[in-house]
Amino acid sequence: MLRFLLVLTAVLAAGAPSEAAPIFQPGAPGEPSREISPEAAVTLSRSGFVEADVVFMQHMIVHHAQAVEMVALLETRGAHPGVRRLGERIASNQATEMDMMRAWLEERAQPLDDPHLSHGHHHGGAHSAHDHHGDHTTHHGHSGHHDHSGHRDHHAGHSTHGGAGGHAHHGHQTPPPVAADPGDIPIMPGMLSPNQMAGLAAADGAEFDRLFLEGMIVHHQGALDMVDDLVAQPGSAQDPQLSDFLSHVVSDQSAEILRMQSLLSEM
Amino acid sequence: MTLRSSMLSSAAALSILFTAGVSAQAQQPRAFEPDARTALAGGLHDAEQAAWNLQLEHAITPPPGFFDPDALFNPRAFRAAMEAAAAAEANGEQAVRPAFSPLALSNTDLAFIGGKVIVGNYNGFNIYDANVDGAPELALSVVCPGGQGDVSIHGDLLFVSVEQNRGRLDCGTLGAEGDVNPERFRGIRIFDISDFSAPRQVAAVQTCRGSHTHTLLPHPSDPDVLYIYNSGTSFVRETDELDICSSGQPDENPETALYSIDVIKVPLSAPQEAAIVNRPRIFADRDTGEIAGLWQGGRFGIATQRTSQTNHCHDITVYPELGIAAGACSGNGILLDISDPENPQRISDLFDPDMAYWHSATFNNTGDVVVFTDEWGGGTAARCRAEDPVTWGANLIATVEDGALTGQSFFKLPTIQGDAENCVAHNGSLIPVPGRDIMVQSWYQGGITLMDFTDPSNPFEIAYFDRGPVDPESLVVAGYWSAYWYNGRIYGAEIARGLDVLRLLPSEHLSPSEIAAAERVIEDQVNPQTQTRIVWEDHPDVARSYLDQLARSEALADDLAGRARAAVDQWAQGRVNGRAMTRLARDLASAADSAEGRDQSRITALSELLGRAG
Repeated sequence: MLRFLLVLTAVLAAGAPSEAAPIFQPGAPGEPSREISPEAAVTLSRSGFVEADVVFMQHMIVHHAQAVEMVALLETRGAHPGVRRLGERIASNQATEMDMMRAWLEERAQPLDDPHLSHGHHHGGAHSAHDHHGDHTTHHGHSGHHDHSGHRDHHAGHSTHGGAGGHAHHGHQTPPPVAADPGDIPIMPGMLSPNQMAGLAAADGAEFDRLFLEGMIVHHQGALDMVDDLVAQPGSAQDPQLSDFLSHVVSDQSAEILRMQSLLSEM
Repeated sequence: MTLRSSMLSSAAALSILFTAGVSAQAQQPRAFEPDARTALAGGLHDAEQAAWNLQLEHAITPPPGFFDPDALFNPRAFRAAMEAAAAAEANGEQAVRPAFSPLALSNTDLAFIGGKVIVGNYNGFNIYDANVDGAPELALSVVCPGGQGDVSIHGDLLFVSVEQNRGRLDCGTLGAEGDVNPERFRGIRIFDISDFSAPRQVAAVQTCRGSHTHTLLPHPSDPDVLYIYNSGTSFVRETDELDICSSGQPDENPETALYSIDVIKVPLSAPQEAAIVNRPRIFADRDTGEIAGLWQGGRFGIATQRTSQTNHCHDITVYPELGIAAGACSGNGILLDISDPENPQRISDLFDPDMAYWHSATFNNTGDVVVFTDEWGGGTAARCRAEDPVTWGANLIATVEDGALTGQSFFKLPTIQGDAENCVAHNGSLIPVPGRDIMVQSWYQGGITLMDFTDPSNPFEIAYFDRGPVDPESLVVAGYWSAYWYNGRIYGAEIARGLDVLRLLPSEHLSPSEIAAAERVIEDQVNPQTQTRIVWEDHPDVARSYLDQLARSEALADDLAGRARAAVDQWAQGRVNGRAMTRLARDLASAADSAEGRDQSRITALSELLGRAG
């Protein structure tokens, strides 16, 4: 029925009273245009996708799931109502984007998970914004009581390591240079390591708020790096929906980082 | 400026200023009630409609070449084809994946010239002849993929924003692959449309982050020069592809393409020579010159280190007659002095914790109020649901006083929309009703609304139009990208459904005279982000508009109002008593002395108008 309606309206539009207006495809600047058929015009709109696009979406789902997980901790451990409200918004944004990414993959008959992303750290498939009330530290293996000041230094180091200006982004296969404890290795760059997540889960009150904001800034920065990595791949990001999504990730996460910095400075 | 002092005293700001002790309940904003547009039946071209004080006159479906019945807005067929291809691949067969994408034929922004409506599209643009009494007729289609197709017009030159990675210099079909490709085009295309039988691309100005939106700014004195303020929001392209481009934070790369806008100069007699003439650091700290100046620095670890502050504008609206521009710039709203168009200077900035993403800006006619929009969720998400806060994804209405922005209130589409309807504040323009500030605005699948923001602290809705979702079962991105006023009608570009034309209907909120006064304002060229001062010709409808408004606010004594109505009626019949009119104008002028605020300016305007009529 839906298909029938679509065809019908297309016919109606084509049969408008005035004679059909011409459709032109311009050439490069200075070159003449040529007239093309409606079918050719539609063909020009069509585009495909490559493996790198699929892997990007699969990884971004995992990446976003960690933010939702961090916000779930916020509900019981955070102190600052402003941080809590910001966290709710982040969770809601990331959950919506995860839905969009899953739909993008499903519509294209692509798997939701990257089989090469191992360690049983898959949070992407099952979680939503509202099903996080359990003990999340168990997902990651518990690393015992964490020293908070040391933890903060670790964050700062992570940030410097991820600093801008032509550093090479790490693909997920490449381990960080020096990390003796596997618990210090995040599943992907731009995500918190299991130890960092455990440290967050062990913190409380104002200390939690600060770790949360610092961690989420690193986390959001990771998404921006993932976008840079994707567009460097041959043939990537041709799909208009994906291209739009990349712009949204860049713009939204930048704006959210600004808000988190503001909160951090108010503390 | 401190962040604290510039925060709007909204729920979230309160929660920051008063940490503990304020009940979370009290901070929750009031929720909206469902209304006639909440649960409309869905469909692409047969969705149920709801209208209040607006009438849909024409609904023009997308023309041939701009509609893809095989895939677009038909996710089930799309998926079935993809699954078939995936199954074939799994069997080791040669599979041809269907190549099409939702959104690839989206209708986007609008521009107007000489009674023609230009509809931007991810795949090019269409131009319609708009007859106020008849349906718009398609006059020209141009195909040139690249999105998002933000369009502007200046005489014979049409400007189009291109941001997507697939854009090619030659409007071609092969895409532009790889991280470096000399055929790739991201930036602003310039077309000469003087001959509808031979439109031509005359220039293509490459930019580092492409072009998400752009704004035309005519040179203040040289009619041969047009400036473009370009806003790129996407990733920075490779230096090897465009040598002026490099990314990174300014402390490590002072030449970074972040933290700037592009100023493009177009010599109108030689548009092929259009080029970037400046990339001003409009976010720089005014005292220290630090490029990333809108963030003052935090006291803790990460906030002072690698930061990603406001580093681009999403859209800029210029008001050349006032020499100012309002920038909606990611994490901030800003005010620019553009008296030197090549060197815009930031004079004020605003931050608010309720604003996720500063998206666009519209001045009122006097330029002392700015409506900023917040495109929370990027326009592809359902953000008008019952659970979505009424201050998020809304308009922030700010006043401008002595060059400083101050947030006053929020306005969000005052209804509840469903999960299948992407909905957030989006593009709009002023409706030229004298004596009031009224804006028509698109909200994607939330429909079109009219907001009265004459009192910037108390905005309210006075009309709407809405359809049910394209697909009630899943969110298919659609709805109004833009809705603008042009020569007596509202034109709405619907992403999926085409071009709609709506007219105002009289109501308690808008009198026949106010509508008539608005419909009498005729302009040749309209680019909504290039605002020009609305001027009303002296006409009885304008006088009656003021009188209707003064009656609503009960700001004029009955006898004086009665005399004025009688005099205006005589004027409308061509029987002006000059002496009586002069006396009336004088009495109104003294009545204005004891009135306040907007009523005072209405009475003054009425007095002056009748003085001239006499």
